[in-house]
Amino acid sequence: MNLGQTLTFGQTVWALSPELVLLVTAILVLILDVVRPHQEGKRWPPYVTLAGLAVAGAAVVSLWLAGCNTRVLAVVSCDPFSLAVKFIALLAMAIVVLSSDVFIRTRKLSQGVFYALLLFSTLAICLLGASVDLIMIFLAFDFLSIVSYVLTGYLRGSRRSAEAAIKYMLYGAGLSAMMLYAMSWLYGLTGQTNLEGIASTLAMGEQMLRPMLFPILIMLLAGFAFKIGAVPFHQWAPDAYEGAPTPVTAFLSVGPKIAGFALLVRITVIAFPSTLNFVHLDWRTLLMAITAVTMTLGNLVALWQRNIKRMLAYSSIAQAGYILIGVVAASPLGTAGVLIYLLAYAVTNLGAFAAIIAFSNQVGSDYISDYAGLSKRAPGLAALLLISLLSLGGIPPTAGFFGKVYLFSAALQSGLIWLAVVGVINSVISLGYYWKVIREMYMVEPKSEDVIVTPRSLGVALGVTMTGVLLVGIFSNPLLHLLEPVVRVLFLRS
Amino acid sequence: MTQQILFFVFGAIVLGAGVAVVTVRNIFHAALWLLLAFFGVAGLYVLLEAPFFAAVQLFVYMGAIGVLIIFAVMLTQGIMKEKQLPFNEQWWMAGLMAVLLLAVMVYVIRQLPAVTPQALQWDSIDLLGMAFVHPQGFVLPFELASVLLVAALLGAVTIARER
Repeated sequence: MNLGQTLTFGQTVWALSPELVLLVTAILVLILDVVRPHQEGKRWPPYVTLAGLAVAGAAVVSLWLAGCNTRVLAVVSCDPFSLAVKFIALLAMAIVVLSSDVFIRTRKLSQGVFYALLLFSTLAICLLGASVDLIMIFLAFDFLSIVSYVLTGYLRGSRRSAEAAIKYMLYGAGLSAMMLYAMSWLYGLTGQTNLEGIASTLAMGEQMLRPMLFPILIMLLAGFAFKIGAVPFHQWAPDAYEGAPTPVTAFLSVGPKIAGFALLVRITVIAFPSTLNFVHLDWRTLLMAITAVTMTLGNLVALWQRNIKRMLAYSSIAQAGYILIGVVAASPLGTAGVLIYLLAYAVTNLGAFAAIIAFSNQVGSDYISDYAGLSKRAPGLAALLLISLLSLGGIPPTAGFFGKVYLFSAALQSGLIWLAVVGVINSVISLGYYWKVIREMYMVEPKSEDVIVTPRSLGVALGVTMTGVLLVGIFSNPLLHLLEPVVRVLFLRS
Repeated sequence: MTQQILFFVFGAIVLGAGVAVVTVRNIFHAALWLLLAFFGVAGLYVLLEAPFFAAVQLFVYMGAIGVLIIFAVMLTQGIMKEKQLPFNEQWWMAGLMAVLLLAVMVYVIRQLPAVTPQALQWDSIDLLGMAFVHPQGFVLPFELASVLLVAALLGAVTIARER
């Protein structure tokens, strides 16, 4: 499959097969849920969901091996970059499904709808990673947002969950309206909704269009900053993270970020490429400021948190700041760094959340002080949480360390020495609050002697994430050599 | 001349109704004022010789969205009884942001070169229909919109359903 060639029906279906599989699986889960409604403690929904994710993953791999690099139905692109994003998203969602099983069953929440919504959100992330048209981008963006609001409020009867969902929705609705407004300006300016068309129209009329572009960029970036949880549009994150059902918190900390960063990279690289010098300068300056503030604020506020979910919320804000460095670098190394760090962050953070779910499932608390002496009550669980936290803090030889190395070296390569320095200083600050949890687990006497038992599905989730953390760490260099040449295509096209 | 008079009439409707939306004490009345503001915008579209926009404005905004807002107001318990000014201690911040936004927009639009009007394509509705189903058009977003609606409906029912 090559660029510029019209696809046959079969090729179109193949190129869209990951999304189609997800859609069909979601509908299948819903239908099965209606056909067999009163099956006490039903076990099949997560398995069906995982099977769907696995088939979609196989489709992604087959498209990657076929060297797919083409436009599908004018609005999405099937290229190595989008396939990498889809692969990370599918892996992350599989871990979320594994972490959800026990939580959803013990609380007797509707399983079919929950997994269908998770599949719908995966579909939205996959489409966002591939969109090259403003209309498609906006639809997929809002699709993901709406499903996320519902999932956040999924604990019916819990006031906190409802409050979190309402806050998240009001915040998100305002910012997506703002983003849509920016898109309408962009369309009004260029008469194009296609990102490449926008870039070429902008290239023709640089001087004339210049004054319009700055407000457009600010409003567009506001929408993306909301999705990835970057300052100053991060305020929804701590409340939504704390109030949402914990497996959904795990999803919120990873899913929207994968989608948001994929979109941010694609828009900045394709619609506002560096060949348009003045535009390039504008968005880079803006993003640089956002990057530095996001890292610093996220880390500093995380230091004061007592609730581990809130702490990880601020930690994930700071992590978004690190990943933004790769976007600002605007180079193949930076983009490959973004992908590797997204993968590393996804497995690491989901590992931490799987451990938190296993803990709160039995103890019923999310306070860091209750983690006292966890190493004695559940040595395995404590060790896995330790590895996750070390990886989040960027200690070698974990995935988080190598991910950061590539991001910071991309910053150096693009001449952004100060940003790399801010990143390194922030990594050191972040160790402060990760250490707080580690200290509780290993150096404080336990409050209770009860042994904490990890349910099997969570055990599998923890096993997968820890394997991921170590494998991404060990094979980070081959991974970079695999990704860097293919993301270069994005830059060549512009 | 007639056009200019009409422009000022519609402009006055939009502005007057817009101010009323944010100042009246009864939220139901605010919704009705909003409908009038939508109507004024439709009138402006007619003056700009954009009949398609005018029709969409009437159908979608005055029709669908207006009814939706009124439904939402009527279905919210106790909201009709409260009669208070829709201001809180942050009203001046909101006002400041609104003035700033206006300033930026006026500045930006003044920077733009004058655009010469072009002949409109009158078959724009045909084009719209084609765009929804053509493989090089927006068939995928069109389909995605239907999936989005299903997911949103599903979520709304799940959250709102009685236990």
